[in-house]
Amino acid sequence: MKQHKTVIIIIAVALFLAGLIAVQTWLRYEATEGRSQNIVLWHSYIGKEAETLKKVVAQFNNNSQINGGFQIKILSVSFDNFSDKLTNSLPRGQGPDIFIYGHDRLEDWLSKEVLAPLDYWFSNQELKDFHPLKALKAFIHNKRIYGLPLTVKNLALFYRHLPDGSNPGNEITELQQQNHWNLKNFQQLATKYTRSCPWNNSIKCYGLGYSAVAAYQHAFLLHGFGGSYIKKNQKIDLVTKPALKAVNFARKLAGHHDNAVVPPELSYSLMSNMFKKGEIAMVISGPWFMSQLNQNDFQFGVKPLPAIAGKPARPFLTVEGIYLSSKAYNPTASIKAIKYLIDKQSSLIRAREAGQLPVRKSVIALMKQNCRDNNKKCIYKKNFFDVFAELSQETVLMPASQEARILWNPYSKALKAVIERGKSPKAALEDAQWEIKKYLGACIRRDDKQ
Amino acid sequence: MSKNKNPFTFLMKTNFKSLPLFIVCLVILLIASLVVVLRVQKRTVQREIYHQGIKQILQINSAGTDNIKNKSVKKFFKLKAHNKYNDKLYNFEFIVGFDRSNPNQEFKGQLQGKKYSSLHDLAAQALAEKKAVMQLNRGNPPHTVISLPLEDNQVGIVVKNITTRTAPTPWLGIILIIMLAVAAFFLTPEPWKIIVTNSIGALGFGMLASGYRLAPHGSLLEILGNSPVGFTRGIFPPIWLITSLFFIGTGILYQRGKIDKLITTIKSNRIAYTYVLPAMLGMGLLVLLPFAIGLGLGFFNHCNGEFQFIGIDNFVDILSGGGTSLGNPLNFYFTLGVTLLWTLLNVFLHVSIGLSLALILKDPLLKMKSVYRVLLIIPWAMPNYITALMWKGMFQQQYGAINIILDNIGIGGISWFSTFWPAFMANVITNTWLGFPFMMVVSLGALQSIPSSLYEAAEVDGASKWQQFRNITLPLLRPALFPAIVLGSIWTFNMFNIIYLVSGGEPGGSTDILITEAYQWAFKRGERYGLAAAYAILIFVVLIIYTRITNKLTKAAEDM
Repeated sequence: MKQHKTVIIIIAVALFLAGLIAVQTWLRYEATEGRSQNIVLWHSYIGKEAETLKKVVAQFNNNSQINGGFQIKILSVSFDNFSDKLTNSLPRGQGPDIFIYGHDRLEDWLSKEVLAPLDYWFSNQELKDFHPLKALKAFIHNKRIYGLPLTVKNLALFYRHLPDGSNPGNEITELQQQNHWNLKNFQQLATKYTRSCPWNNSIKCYGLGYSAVAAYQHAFLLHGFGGSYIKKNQKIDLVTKPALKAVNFARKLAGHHDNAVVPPELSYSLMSNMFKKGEIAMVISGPWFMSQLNQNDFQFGVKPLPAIAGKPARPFLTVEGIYLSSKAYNPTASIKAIKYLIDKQSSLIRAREAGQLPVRKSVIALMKQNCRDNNKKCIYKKNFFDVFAELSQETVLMPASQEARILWNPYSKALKAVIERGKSPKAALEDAQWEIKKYLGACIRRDDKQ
Repeated sequence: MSKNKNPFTFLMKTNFKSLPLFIVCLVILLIASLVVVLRVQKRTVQREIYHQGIKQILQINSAGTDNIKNKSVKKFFKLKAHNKYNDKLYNFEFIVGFDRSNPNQEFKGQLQGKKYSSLHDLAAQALAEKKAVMQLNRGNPPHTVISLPLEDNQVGIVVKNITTRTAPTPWLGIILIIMLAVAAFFLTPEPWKIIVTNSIGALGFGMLASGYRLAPHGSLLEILGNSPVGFTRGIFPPIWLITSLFFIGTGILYQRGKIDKLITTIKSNRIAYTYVLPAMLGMGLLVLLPFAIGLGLGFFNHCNGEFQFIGIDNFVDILSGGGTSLGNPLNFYFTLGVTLLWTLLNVFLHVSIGLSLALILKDPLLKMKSVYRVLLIIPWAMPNYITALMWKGMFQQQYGAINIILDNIGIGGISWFSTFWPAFMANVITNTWLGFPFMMVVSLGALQSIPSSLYEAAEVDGASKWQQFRNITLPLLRPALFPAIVLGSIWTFNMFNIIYLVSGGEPGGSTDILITEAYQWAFKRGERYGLAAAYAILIFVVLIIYTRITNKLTKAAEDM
């Protein structure tokens, strides 16, 4: 009887294990079968950009001549977790075949062998159609291209017609015409609009909205004063004269003092709400800010950032691109999908419907042509592409190195310490420098040993 | 009597008890040795093929493709790079091509199409990295592709069968160690058998594997220095460490009679163990395995996807303060201090508010008790991250509800997250809001179980309300409240959500507690997973000490 029971238990356990193996095999089979005719695309778009991507993908999927029997399956992944999910899932064969993301993680992904090069599949002519040059350059590493640009994004100055009828845009235009659109006048203009709101005295209105404590937003000041976050040799030297000047100026604009022109503790959602209500007259933000605004509610415009020390301000340029995974199930079909997503027709749809600044010369030319033919349909101007395109020429490509990725947090922490807690800029930047060195410790240790 | 004179039978009889355990350890030793040996063999083969390939490319390059004698060479290509896209990218064309399986095929012009994409990739990689590149291909038969940059922007690529023989397996060494272990097993008296045998096994395995690893290099200095095969490189150190720990641990447990006891218990309660087996497996896979991996990770350094064994460096770095002053938020002791203060203050507030409300709700004269009870449980019933985000909004300097109220009553708004104490208090207020209902519910339940006759008797004796509370309520609440306090303090100690969502560690990381600090090291500060794991282990150690102390206190209280 006892032996009988033991045999039953052994059989039950064996069956259970066999069942587990069978389920796993079946799931694996399902997954690979499912993938054989599908191209999995990951993105972190929201709102109009996500809707437009769906539309473009639907066109690819419905056109059997282009897709060759393959279908793109879209998966939306949250921006904050994108990179972690990608690097965790790809080695297990569960990630995307192609994906859309900014260029700033390129070196990290290359070191983790997540990306496949693309240049072999694109002719010289196709590559030369990309504009500005730095958009494609952002994806070049060791003479190979690891991504193709879909759009570029950089900061500009948004202004609006205020409820009391005043319009800072007119004053900026005047200053531009007189060649006096500089940091000093910019501060004065922002100070002028920092007051009790004329339409409701109990509320304080501010001249400017921007995230003064974010290293990304601060870049235009740092570059303007002649500094940079990372030197060409990838070394980090934060405590420089330009850096101190830039931090000092940021402290004048924002913080807990009476002359501040930026509201304290400003979040992105609060900034857009205040701008919509007219409680902020000007905002420094990128093209994504337009998705929050509607010309029917109030009139707004986009202007370049003020000149610093006689030279144009140089904010960061982020390039959003499409990548091919090194573990793509069917690379040839994935290349087809990439070619479709960056081609002229898709770029036009993305520019018109998602407001994505086009990065192909042929598309820009076509859009400008449409403007000449029919001004009402001039999306190129309506979406301020002319302003952003011009500004993108004067930008600094956001660094994509390991050092850069580590830098943003300590630098933003230093800005916060100066702006919100009144710490001396030198001490704050020295702390940030020390912290970055410590964060990089893991890799320094390994290099030293080698 | 005569049977005992046969030495083999005598040995078998006297050692039978620990024989199964000895065999298990022996099998583990064999597997660990083979893992290291096979890996070393694989590496050696790869290295040899790599050097052979380079040699063959150079030979063919100078002698031409007509005289390729070596039959292991399946294909050979010489490509020339032309730069495209303003010299920023490579474009290749064939100079020479040879395919042994199809000698008449011509290789001319530029590389195009799917067929040649991997040739292009290898050639570009060799040119960019300015060194030979090798790719293993698991085809049938398995072959290897090696590309080597040549003069004048040219690249030589050879596709060859894997013909290299592997390095001989050190069977003699392995057998010698096994024999030594077997001898030690039979010669050592009980209960020391396993610990002595296992120590010899671990030591022998270490010596054999490290010697085998170093055999092709030959220099003793390489073991101690920074060579790629040194003691701290590759998978050898963790395998050796885990195996040795397992061996010695098993030995100690056996010597103390724990393993015997376990086997006896399992045998006598076989059915019970069968029932709990699924749960044990689940716990093992979902709790113990991740815990063990986390524990191991604490001894590694991570950089760009590569892990390197660094011993206790991470712990030394954390416990020495990492070169920071005691007042720096990056200093472990500062964070530990903040964590302890955070836990103490929160638990104190949770208990005092929870207990007070429970006493009020217990009042028989209070009307609409059920309404109050429901209202007071709502903070607990809501997901804590939603509450945390709501409180964060209320602490906003200009538009937050709290500052508006403070402004209206004339105190004036506070910049909550600019300095330590307001930011810390903002976290505490939020967590108190979330935490008191649990203590209230526990207290209420315990209060209701206290017989009213005790209070009536006390009143007859003329005891005041305070005396009743101190001498009846509190002592009878203790059995229910004490475990709740222990549980609550462990939850609060590791309360990640509130810190992360309310203050986010602001200002300058000073309100971070140990668990959020571990998160920062893992995901915000250069992916230092090893350091984060070491933090997690230290948190575990602190909580183990705390639980031990509270257990003793509980026992002491029960004995009273």
